[in-house]
Amino acid sequence: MRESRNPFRLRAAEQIESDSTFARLFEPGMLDALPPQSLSVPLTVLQSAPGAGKSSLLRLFTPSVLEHVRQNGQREEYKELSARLRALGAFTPDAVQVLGAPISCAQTFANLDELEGRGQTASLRLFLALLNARIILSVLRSAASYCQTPLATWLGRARVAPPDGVELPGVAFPCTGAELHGWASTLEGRVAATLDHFGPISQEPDLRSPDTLVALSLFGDGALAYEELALPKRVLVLLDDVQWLTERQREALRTSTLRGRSPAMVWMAERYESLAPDEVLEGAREGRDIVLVRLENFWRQSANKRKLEHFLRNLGNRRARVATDVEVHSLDDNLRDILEGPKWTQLFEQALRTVMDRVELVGEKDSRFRDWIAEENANAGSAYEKLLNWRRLEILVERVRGRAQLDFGLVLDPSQREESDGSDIGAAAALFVAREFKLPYYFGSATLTSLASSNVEQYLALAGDFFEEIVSATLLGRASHLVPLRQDRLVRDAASARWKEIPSRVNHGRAIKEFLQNAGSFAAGVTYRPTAPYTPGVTGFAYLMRDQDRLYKKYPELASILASAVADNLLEMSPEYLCKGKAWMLYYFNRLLCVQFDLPLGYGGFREQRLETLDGWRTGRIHSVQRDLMGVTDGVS
Amino acid sequence: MASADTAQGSAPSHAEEGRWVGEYQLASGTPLASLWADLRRDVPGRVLLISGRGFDPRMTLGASVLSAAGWDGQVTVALLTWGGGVASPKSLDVLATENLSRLTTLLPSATIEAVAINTANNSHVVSANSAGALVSKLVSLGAFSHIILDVSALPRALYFPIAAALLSEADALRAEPPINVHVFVSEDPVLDGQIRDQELEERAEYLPGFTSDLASESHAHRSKIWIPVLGEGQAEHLSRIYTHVAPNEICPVLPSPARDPRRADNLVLEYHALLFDQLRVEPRNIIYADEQNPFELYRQLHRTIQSYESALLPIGGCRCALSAHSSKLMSVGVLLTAYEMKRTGHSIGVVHLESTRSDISFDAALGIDDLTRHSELHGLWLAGECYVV
Repeated sequence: MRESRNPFRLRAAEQIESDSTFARLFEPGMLDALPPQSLSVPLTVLQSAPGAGKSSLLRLFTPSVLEHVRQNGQREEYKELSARLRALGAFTPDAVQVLGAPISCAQTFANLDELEGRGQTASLRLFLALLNARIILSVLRSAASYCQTPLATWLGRARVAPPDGVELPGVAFPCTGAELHGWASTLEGRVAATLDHFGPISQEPDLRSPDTLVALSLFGDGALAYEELALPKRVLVLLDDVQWLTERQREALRTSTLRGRSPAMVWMAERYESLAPDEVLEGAREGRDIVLVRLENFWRQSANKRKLEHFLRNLGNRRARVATDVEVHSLDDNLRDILEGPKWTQLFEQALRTVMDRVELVGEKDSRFRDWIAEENANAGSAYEKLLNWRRLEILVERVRGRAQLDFGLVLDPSQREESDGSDIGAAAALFVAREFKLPYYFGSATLTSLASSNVEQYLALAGDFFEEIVSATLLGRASHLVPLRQDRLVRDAASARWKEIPSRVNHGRAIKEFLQNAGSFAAGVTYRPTAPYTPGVTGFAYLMRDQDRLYKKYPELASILASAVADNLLEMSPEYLCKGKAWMLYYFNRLLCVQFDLPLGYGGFREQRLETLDGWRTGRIHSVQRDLMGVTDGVS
Repeated sequence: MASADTAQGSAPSHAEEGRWVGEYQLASGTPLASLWADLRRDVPGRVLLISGRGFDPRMTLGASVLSAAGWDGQVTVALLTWGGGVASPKSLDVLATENLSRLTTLLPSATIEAVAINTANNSHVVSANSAGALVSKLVSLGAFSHIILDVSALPRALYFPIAAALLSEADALRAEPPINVHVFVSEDPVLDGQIRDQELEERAEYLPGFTSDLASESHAHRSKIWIPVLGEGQAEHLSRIYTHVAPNEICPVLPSPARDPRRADNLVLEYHALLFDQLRVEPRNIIYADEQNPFELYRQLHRTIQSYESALLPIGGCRCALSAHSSKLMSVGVLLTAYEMKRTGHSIGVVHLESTRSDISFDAALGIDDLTRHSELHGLWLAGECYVV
């Protein structure tokens, strides 16, 4: 395939062919999400929405990538990655310690449960047989790759001697790699033939495979030998896309992995889709033999937010550096984050006049604000600073006017303004003027990382749009900097595209879109009230944690919608969030959805809701008070 | 035997002669009507017409041809029903009823059998062995000289395995005289444009019966070639299929010649970012095929796959995944390639992303005649007497 002129368009795991390119693009910060015992417990489960980086993590632990990083560990670009992998125990300075064997669960397995006229036990037998075959084939292929020897040659010279007591019907151990490969290959072929056969299956295929996950027991320390070369001590089976197995198959897989106490370790990467709504919304339980890693949750912990920003920026800069057509050392350096120039100054001055006129009109009718207005008139600053200050003042004036208490019409002292003013009001003012005067709002490097919503793929897609413009400008000999207006346009286009594709992308897509439309309209309605009551804005909702059971029992459709939206990262979930002395189930909008509703990107602003209200957002039966806020005209009160 | 008025192609032979590379039978419009009139005289007997039961206004176009050619009385109609999808609006139910009533008007003496298909997980996907069982059951409904699968009102995930099972059954029986297998397909870009996929299955899948060794770990060392036959509005399909197949090489097929001469260019514009930036397709890999002739597409695919096989043989060979994103007529070309090449030992499969909900924007109140004003029925004779040497 062609070299890509825009490396942001490559998804790390699937589209990067060369191991060295993959390793160079892999940002070591991703390993922060892995607990230190990940390479010692029998089972590690990686869960996330699509695009959070699971497949990349799995690919990192394949032998050719590990060996490449180990050998090049002294080079500047690999130093950090190498150190982190060593700390995890993936390799020592002398040798790779784990033999990663990747297997995709997206292929064939689930179809085994759909064969006509076949009972559950027979289907599970086929599943275990196929999984045994694929694990064996993948381990042998990985071992050959580790030895940098063509598979056929390696198989002929390799010896397999499993631990005592491990047997395979029809195979006499010790045997050659070729014999074991032939056994597994035949088994895989027999199972596949059952699926591809046009016609009823008259008899059970001759599987000659035990009804257990014996493949995990085969490869103990020293079970594989290839001439004089030492092979990694432990096998790490890397199962990707586990969500595509049927529920029965996933259960059998987990049970078999933990029951056998086998020498091989297993990593399973799965999306939340595979989980029932209650599992998605509550989270699986960890045991002493299982490590559960929920990638987004890790990044969303407050202690890790800065790490995430750092990780995404580095990721972007790594991608920018490998572009073939242009020399761009950093994406950040090419993103302008200031609105400057005569065109903007003129626009700010016009906007300032509008806001000043409005505030002064109020001041003419209500003398209480005389000193506040006089003080503001005396303040110096750029046109934009003045605009923001006047808009802040307008919010404060609205708040005072909205108060019920009597103040006898006394002129308000400037110190009273200081008491009620704050940085959050400044943020609200910036948001309000951006919307009112159509100024760019979503721009700058920090905004770009915020818009990722803890999702690597979302970040790469957006950064890729930015980078495309930078490349095009450079190729045309123009300035490569991306101005705020253009950044804002690209972000809004991406948000709109994401919004439109919800029905085709997510389970219950239409229903989710309807729900989010109402939720987003409500958030925008509250955010843009003249008094800016929830500065800088509302970007989420919450219900009481104790209502969780009632959600499943009384509102199962709402529970499914919330679970699917979380699974696709449209909602970011924070269980057990403590606020006002109570525990809440908190949901924030994906930050791209915030753009769709002109909302700010900060966290912290959410509104508590009853389940009945949330279900109303689903069904369109919306309370009249909310309806007014949302600008809905046809709801039912 | 059929008159020579139909499109009967011939082409230069290749290293390995494909079944339809040389001779084929394809007809539409008046030639199709004449073909079936001639067949009544030259190859008489009973006809089994297999069709989908539903609201699609094109459901009865095949029956119209048989009726006009005087086959009524010799026809058994198998109306297939299946699970999946969502409840349709009332206006579509009216169309479904109108279809049924029209069918009985067109073929008043025909035997009509409703046949339920056992689909997986309430979807449109039928397993290979269920398709085989279905075909055995249908064939046993009588002694038929002609079996017609009318795919006009059937989803792809259903008609691919059923057509393959039919051909497989005909090939396996080696009956004397042979069973004549036909496919009817209605082409109507206007109507197709009014039935658009809205909600999709989460992931693509190899169609049952067309998995081959594409998913096999034993052959993971072989390169994968993906050949998508492009049509409009399929970016999400293409993206998900790419993820599922994970190909080493991509050869998109563009329609040319086409009724709209700019169609291929427009498709390139539509998919430019996806194909050339994200998936890094080599422009020289693009294949062009006549949008009105599935046999031509079959030839192009046959030739391309053979070229890749011979080029990659020294490094272990290759596996090919086909996917159809264009019209149903073109999809039949994909079906023929996959069936025939798999039967002759090639490593080839078909990958597909099923729609779980379609957005239907045509006005059902217009009635069947108005809605099918631009529809053109094509008939492909796939197996039987015309191929006996």
